[in-house]
Amino acid sequence: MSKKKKRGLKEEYNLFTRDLDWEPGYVSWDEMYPYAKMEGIKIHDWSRWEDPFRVTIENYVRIQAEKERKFQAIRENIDLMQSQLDISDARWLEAMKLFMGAAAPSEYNAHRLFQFVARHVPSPAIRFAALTQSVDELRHVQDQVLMFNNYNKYYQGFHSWRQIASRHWLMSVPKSFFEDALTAGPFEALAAISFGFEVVFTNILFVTVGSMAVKNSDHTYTGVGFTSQSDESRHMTLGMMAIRAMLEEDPDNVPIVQRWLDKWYWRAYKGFAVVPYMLDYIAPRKLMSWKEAFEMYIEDQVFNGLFKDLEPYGIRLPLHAKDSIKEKDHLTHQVALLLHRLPHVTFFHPFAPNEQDKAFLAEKYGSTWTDLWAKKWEQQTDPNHDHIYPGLPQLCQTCQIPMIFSEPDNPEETCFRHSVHEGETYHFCSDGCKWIFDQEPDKYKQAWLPVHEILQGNCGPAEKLPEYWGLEPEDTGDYYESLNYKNFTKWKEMRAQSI
Amino acid sequence: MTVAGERSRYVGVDLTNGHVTDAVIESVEQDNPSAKITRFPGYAKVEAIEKLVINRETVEEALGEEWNTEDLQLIVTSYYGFIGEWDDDQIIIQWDNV
Repeated sequence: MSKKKKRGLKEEYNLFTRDLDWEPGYVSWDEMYPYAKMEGIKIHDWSRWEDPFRVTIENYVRIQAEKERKFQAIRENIDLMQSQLDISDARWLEAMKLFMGAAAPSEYNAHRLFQFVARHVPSPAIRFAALTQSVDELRHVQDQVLMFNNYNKYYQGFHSWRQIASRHWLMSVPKSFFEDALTAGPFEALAAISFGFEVVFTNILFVTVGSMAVKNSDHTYTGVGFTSQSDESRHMTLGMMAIRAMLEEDPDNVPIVQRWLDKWYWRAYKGFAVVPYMLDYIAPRKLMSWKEAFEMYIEDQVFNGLFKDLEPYGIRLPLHAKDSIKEKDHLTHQVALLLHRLPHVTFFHPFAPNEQDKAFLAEKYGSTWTDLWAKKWEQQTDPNHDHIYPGLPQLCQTCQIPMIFSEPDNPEETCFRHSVHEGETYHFCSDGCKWIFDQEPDKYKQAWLPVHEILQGNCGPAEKLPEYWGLEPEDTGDYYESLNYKNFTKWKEMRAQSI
Repeated sequence: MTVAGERSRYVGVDLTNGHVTDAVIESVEQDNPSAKITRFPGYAKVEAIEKLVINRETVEEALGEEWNTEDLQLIVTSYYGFIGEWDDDQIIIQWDNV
């Protein structure tokens, strides 16, 4: 079969993307790129770097339009086919509230971040890839908001995602993550999101969640998840290109890049601590456990794959990678127990695992489940004791998650770390978070910690907190007492009777 | 360069289910002796040891129509390894320092 194209992909890319760069004439190079040198990254020859995807504006627009057409067709079908009733159980939507509630505003922040990178990193290949990524992120947030609209027609809890995203205490976790990256220099911003987040973590987040949505027959998320995910390979490529350019251009860049990998691996790992809970607990039909997903995507593909390839440049595994490996048996249960104690202040409905969930956890986690976490759940759900925690939890200064994580070598002992800076004591959930603070205490001392702000009266009177967060009374409480559960059960019965 | 790996290192792509993906999988199985396909709900993990080659011509034969390599973007949701080549005829994903 013959190709009728005048120019090949390679030539097309060089002509219309990479070589369209120009030398500034009216201002100096330093004036045009004011942040390019502030982080100490040295680049000698930008012109030899190109995007392996070889994206030109022409094929970008054509391919993205095709993706968008596919997504809109799926979206219309959902209404047509009454697919909202196909969902395995409305309980699945609690995962969507958590996951999409955090992801949609994060996509918007990523859009802003890649505008910044596209403006300030002086490489034509990176600037164009960052520009297309910033447009991608905007498409994602818009499609995801459309998805909230779909859910909203039938289910409770998706009506004020915007207010929840900017005010709810749980949402300060992803928000602080992206704002941390947004307030870094352009190269760190790029390393943080393109590499630390896209290359290392998006697989475990979006591919497994998308696949889980298929298994739970949530056609809405399947549509939006896969269309968003289809841009991720390009984003990962930008991350790899950027990291390798920095590592190959000058040996002085290596320790700087290593420090960013150390920091952003841990930031991303902690920032997405609710994902294990979605995989192991929320999903009515399970796909794989967090432990299996972590082993496949992080240990196998990232630590044993990617990092081996970066070894010759002098790069080693992220500083606290070992702690995350040790935690893979426990993290999911710690998060699940925490949220089960706080059903009155969450914007989704937590619940205790049922018999089916427990059988899955026993199979996947073996003795750590039977000897330790199953017993904790027995205590937690003992009807003679109130399981609700009425106070405000202590938060980690860096990741902003309540202090629930254990010592790496002892899952029964809660990990507490602290640092003193300018006479003030700051608290951390882990060695990783303490290390990050100690590198830049003047940045993290400014963290907007929801619990501190509530206590200072900056979030209005305590009894009106749910209102401040954008919640209605039926948004909180245990799933099995919720309106969604009652409606879903009723609709399923009606559907069964009508056949 | 030497890398202390205890076992073979795979590279791979994750492809969303559909007829183009079926054709790509068929081509990968034909052109890569170490190809390994794992099916998950909604997508397939397509892997090979150290190097994965996708040839336009083999995909077109399986698909029965013309196919642009850049259209892999419509079905690829993730990959691991580096993109060694992506031109009109071929896509290669590999580890560079093996």
